[in-house]
Amino acid sequence: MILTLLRLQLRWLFSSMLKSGGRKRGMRIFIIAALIYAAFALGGSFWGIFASMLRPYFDGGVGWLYFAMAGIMTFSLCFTGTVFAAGSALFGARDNDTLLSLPIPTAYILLSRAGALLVLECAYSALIFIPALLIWAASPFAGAPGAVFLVLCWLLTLLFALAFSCLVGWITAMAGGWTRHGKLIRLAVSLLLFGSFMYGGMYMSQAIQSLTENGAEIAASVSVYLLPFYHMGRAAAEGDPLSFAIYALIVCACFGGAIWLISRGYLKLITSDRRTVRTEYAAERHVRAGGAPKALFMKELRRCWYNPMVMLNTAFPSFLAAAGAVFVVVRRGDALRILSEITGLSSSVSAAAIIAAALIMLSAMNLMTASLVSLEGRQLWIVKSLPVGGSACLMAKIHAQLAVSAAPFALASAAASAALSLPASGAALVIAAPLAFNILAAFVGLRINLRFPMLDWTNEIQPVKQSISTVLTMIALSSIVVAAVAIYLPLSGGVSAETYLWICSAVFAAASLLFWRRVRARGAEDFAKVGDGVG
Amino acid sequence: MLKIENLRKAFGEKAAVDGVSLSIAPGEICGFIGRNGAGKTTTIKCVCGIISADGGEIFVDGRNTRTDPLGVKRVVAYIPDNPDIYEFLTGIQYLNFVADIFGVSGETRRERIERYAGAFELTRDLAQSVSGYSHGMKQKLALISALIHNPKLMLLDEPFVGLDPNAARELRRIMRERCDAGGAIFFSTHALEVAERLCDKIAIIKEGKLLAFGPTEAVKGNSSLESAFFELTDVTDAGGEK
Repeated sequence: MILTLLRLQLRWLFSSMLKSGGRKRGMRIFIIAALIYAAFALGGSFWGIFASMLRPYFDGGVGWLYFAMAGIMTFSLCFTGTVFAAGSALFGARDNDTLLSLPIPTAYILLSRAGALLVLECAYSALIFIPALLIWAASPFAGAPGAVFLVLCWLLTLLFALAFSCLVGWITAMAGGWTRHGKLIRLAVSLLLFGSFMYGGMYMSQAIQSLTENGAEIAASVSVYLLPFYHMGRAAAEGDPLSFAIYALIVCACFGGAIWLISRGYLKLITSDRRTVRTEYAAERHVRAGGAPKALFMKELRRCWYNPMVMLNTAFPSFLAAAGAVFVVVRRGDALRILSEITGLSSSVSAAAIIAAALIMLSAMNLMTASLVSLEGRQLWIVKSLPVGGSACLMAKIHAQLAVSAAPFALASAAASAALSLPASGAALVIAAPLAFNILAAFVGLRINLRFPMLDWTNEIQPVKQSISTVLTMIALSSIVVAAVAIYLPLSGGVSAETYLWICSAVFAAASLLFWRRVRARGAEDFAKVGDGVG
Repeated sequence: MLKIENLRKAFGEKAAVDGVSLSIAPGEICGFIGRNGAGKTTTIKCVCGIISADGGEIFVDGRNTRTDPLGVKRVVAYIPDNPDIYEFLTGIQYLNFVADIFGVSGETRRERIERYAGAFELTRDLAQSVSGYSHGMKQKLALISALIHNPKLMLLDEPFVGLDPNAARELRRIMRERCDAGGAIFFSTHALEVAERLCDKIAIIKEGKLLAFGPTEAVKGNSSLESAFFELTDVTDAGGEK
């Protein structure tokens, strides 16, 4: 029965990804090719990390640390990848009522939903484990018992991360029921996690360098503070069955404990009434007249704000930009030091160019419009039946992304300009270049989502995190940045970085203008096609 | 008020609507009946512009849905069979949203919300989130939003499903009241007794083709609408098998 439920979840997951591209074979091949490209791009970076770690660790007598690091990275990536989706997937799915009406034990429903998350983790972890395995297998340190334990440890690590994702999702869902401010608590927990990831990300490059240089010290720390991964590493490196048994025991205890804890109140949690706050209706306070564009715009903003996970996922770079602005103001000294280190590497690049480029790269993660058409979902009939043009609906989505991203980015630009005492031309570049790219990113995301909408989701996180539209937008925006850098490299001798970024900004603005004209001229036609083949 | 000429719509190989033609005058209520999958919802969705027709013409109040879709939508209200409404809004926020799109003034919308929310006993829940509404409450909210801009033509897909007896009685009263004031209503239903009592015209559809259309008395003849419906659909079944 669990397998049937799991198959149902997976069939939905994969078919909705592929279906969003239409029935054309060529488009499906393109989607699969794009996914493979993304996997290779991300897997390639992990390949580099493991290639640099293997020999120093094994030569230094701490070969187990190589696998322990693979385990820690897998755990982190899987936890990061599923923690924001776990709450919605486990407790907020729209088909809960349907499944509960069938003779299915609630624990099976819980396990099948957790199983779908596990499959996602499998995909994430392959980016780490396959490079780690191949590099080790091609080395003289490889051995058959270790290979067997390594594969088993990989599967156990997925369960380990899943246990923690489910627990965090459960705590935030419970918090929603305990208090009238459940949404705020969910947002606070999410921001706390998000802040931790950000902090880790900031020191990632230092950490990687440190990993290769200080193997012995790291090994000592891991063997004390991260005991499960110490045993995991030993099991894989030395084929030690005792270490494997200890690791398996720890993981099974964590996962079993988490599932036991969650399943105890699962039925109550997923069927609880969410109307925690009762507000009295008063016509004079609640009835307000406004215009159609404002109504559409506010609808988009409210949609994102309603689910903190959607807000966090869609406005991720905006939070980073706002945090960056605070960092530059509060830790001006550190900001200047980092900047001088970077400019010291290349004296021809100015501080303004570096900040503008950094903010453009950050904007490339701005994927809000990549899911705003999908998020219409089963409620698409509302805007389609109202007397409002498709272009107005689409522009409201663009405006929503700009409203969420423009202010934090402008704040970050202004803070950096002031704290680093940039000249007027530099300050103008720091404001204009990210803004131009942000606008372009909004149009690119929208265009791709119009082509690949996912309308049959069962919770809002799915179109935001698991849709082909989001993946393609990520690839498209990062490709634009990579292309811009690649074009600059041969020109760097004759054209200054600031001049080049002004040219890029003009190109971004021109491209946005073309997209805008397309939305104005053919927005109604494009929007009409969304969901048109559904009876 | 509504004129459909030779409407055709297919999904892949399957013809969902195949050459449907009918017309409804101001002041008329037309019931649209047929089995599940007969093409009722597709026809209604084509009229209000949610899906595009493959062929044929649709005119609402003299406007062509193909050449003036927004003009048509301004005089039409549509309610689907399963009203999924924005769960991130409260009931009143949703009504304000719809009223803003139609440009209904503050005073007018307040008066209409008061009247229709009172009739459907939803006033005290208007400030609550739609996510906490039952199916019937969502249906009532969708009905209020459909009435808030005083449409000339209402397209209702199984509007009585999920309504409590009081609300269903109110809806029947409002439907008649609107038609007496010159409006028109085109609605699908499986409740044949309701259709027989309420409708001025009846359209029966099967497998995308219109089997019968005309004044209720003419369609049902001397028998009940239920007998006429079974007779028509069973005869075509038998014919099909032969």
